[in-house]
Amino acid sequence: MAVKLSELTKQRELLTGGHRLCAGCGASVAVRQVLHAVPKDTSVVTCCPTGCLEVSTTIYPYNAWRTGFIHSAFENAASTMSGVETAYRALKKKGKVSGDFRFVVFGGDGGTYDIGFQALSGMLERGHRVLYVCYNNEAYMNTGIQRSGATQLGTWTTTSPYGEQSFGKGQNRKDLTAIAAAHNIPYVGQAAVHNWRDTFTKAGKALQAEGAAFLNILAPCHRGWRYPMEKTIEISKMATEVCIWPLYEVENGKWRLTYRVRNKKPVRDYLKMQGRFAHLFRPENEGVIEQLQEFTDRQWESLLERCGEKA
Amino acid sequence: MQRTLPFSENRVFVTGNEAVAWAALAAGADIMFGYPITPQNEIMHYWTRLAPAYGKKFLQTEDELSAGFTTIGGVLAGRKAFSATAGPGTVLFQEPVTMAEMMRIPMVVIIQQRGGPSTATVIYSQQEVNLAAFGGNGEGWRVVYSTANHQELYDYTIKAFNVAWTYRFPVFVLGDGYQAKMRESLVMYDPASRGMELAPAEAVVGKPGRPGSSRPAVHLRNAFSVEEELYESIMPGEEEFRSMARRVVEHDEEGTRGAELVIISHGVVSRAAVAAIKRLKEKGIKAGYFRPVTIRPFPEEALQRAVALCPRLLVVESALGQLARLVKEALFNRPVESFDTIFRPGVGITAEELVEAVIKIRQGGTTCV
Amino acid sequence: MGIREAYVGEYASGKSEYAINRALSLCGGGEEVTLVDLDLVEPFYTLRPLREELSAVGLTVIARDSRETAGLGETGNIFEPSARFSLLRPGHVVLDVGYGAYGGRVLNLLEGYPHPDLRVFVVVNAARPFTATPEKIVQFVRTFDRVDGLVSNSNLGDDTDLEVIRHGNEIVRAAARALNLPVVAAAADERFRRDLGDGEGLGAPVVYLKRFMHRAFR
Repeated sequence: MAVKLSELTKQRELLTGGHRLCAGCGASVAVRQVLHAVPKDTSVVTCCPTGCLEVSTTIYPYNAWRTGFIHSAFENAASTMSGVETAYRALKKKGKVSGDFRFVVFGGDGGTYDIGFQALSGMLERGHRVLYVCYNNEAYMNTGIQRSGATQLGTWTTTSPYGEQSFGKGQNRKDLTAIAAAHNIPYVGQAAVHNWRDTFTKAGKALQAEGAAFLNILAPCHRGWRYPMEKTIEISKMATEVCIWPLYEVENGKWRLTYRVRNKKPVRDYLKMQGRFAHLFRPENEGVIEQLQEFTDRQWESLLERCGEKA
Repeated sequence: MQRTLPFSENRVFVTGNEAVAWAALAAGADIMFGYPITPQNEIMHYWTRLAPAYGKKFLQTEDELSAGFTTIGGVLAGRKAFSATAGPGTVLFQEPVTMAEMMRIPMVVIIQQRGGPSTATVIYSQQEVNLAAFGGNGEGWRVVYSTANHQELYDYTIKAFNVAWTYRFPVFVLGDGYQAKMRESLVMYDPASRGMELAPAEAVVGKPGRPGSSRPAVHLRNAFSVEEELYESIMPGEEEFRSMARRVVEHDEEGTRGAELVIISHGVVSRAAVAAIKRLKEKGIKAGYFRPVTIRPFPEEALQRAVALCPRLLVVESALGQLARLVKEALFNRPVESFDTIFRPGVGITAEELVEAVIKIRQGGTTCV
Repeated sequence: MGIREAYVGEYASGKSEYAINRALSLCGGGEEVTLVDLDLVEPFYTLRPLREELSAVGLTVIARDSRETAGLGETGNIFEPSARFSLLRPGHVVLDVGYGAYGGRVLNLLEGYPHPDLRVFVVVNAARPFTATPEKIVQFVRTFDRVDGLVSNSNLGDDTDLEVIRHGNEIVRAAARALNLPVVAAAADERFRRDLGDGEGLGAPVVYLKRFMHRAFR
């Protein structure tokens, strides 16, 4: 699938400009990369749980989506789309709908890792042919930067502040990509906005899959992560280079690295680019960086093993 | 680590959310369990800033169901635990709160009301009256304070903890998005300096001794095998709720004697009502004002007395009759000469509008929606 | 080159009020004066609704219109592109920055930052619990990357009295001494002009404020 960026730019955007996401927001980049992979002559229905993406792209009476779009509540995007997909199958069976449809959920990490997790698990387990995309910015940005299950150890958020008694978030994030894979669905992928080709390819496979698919896409947020807005892509790339956010896929149970890190950098190179980690560089918090490095290494080693990269 | 409060009867300038966080600290709260939702987020933000300095704790859970149940867990362990929520979050809180009602677990939840039924309307409404007073599968065994200003948010948050831990019923403090975000001055105080005694928290689980032999076993039930058994349990509970209600019920009232008309409102809308009766007085029109401070239990007897003095009513609220329904129930079978309403779900009501409405009613018009 | 000043502070410190008044005081000198709303933290109580009124008296105001932000996120906001380049504008530039240290860091987003002429002042209201004592103010001011002075602005909104201003001013001065920073102004609502006069005893030039912000969120 050798696709050229120049070709993609000619494609019609299904998420149009004019929405009110911040300049430099990773979420819209993730959405566009995924939707570019929708096959020609295929219609798309998208759904967002409550979150920045939903709020900023669908300010009544405007809508930036050139797709059917549904927003219902915060915890139920996966349930909603399960129903839509089931209705589609039923209508198709009865001959009441023609044409090929795809169903894509775009949820933030709060709506996916936390409050929407149960609905997501149910959808994956029942095997609806839905692609669930988590645009992961590692905190609740819509409500004012609160920690989520996706937030890394030591991160400053408004509900994990730092000070004499606290070094930021006290727990490691959960590995939702692996949890999704444990549902034994046809396709699971972990991607990041800097590698458009990788995300595009994964989205293509996920949309082809005859069943539920899950994509976890790192989508940096300069407001919540505290970095200059033009650095979104650079920071996303560094997340991969330090192996805190490896790019891989699990296709029909087979784990595979989709980007081999040649020269693994220390996580501090990634941390120091962002204000949300600035306090970790104070002498009293040095141990936290080490802990995060250890966690990252352990996860990375285990991933390499699962992907058969270790002899 | 600081143990004492940083203020001694000082007037301070804060937002409503901040007032709640400080009040919880003053009330001796030990831990907050929370989940992000606008417009209560800053209660969590302030609490997390305050907590470490005072040896207090905070846990953010994965949703409001969990926030509610972890709050109960904290209470069972003998801690003064509380939470804060709004809108759809209040809906999810109903299951844990209903369990707390049946098991007689004290619990404090601040609700900063937002618009519904919907999501995204995050600024203001008074539409969570039904939910706060009677949500859940049960009989509405909760106390609901509806506050009108920052001083009350502070005072009633402290009171909420005391009422919850004295009578062992869940207590809601009902604010709204306007109160949450607005800045206003108030006097913060250490309850002890005013001679207020804080009801102690008591551990329910993990008590010393051997249950059943050296001490009675703690038996909290939320599951009943047969309906008759449930009935046997509910009836004494209801008796205790009613007896608590008599001691806890509160209202505010002004100028009802000799009034031509009484404006009934609650929460932040009462500020407009109070201002309106002042302005009407300047115009030579005598209007009264009645306000339930406790939405549940509702001050029925006080309202009946007020209406006996003046049977012409104007009920105003930023909801579609949620307060009016409680008013009607309280006045069942009582003679009422007129019953006008201004229902403005999600939208504020000003003193000017009320003055205009009262004048219109006097001229024989009606404001009914 | 004109004046470049940024006003930062704790939530509800009165920094927006002060920034507006400061910008207005610079008007009429022949130079263009620009007031920039950089409050990305809290979409309530920002300058947007006042833009038309302030523009009428000759201020250039960079802020989004409230109609443009209605329904925008639950706490979201947009960084106005013209704000990004505001430090490079001709004439005087006054920046009203979002609250807290993180609010202060928004300055990093400006083109031309760090600017040699930019001075950053912390507006302090000692009636705010988090800045109620000299120690707390010191702790608070130290969270900022850079500060050039304090503005004493203790108030309780409508309930302010002389005691609040005088007592608060003493607290702010004590903090300034500990921080080795100047108190560049003691601010007070204009209704205290008769009582405070030229501010004798306040230890800093008194600046009388015309209130705008109570009309900001309507």
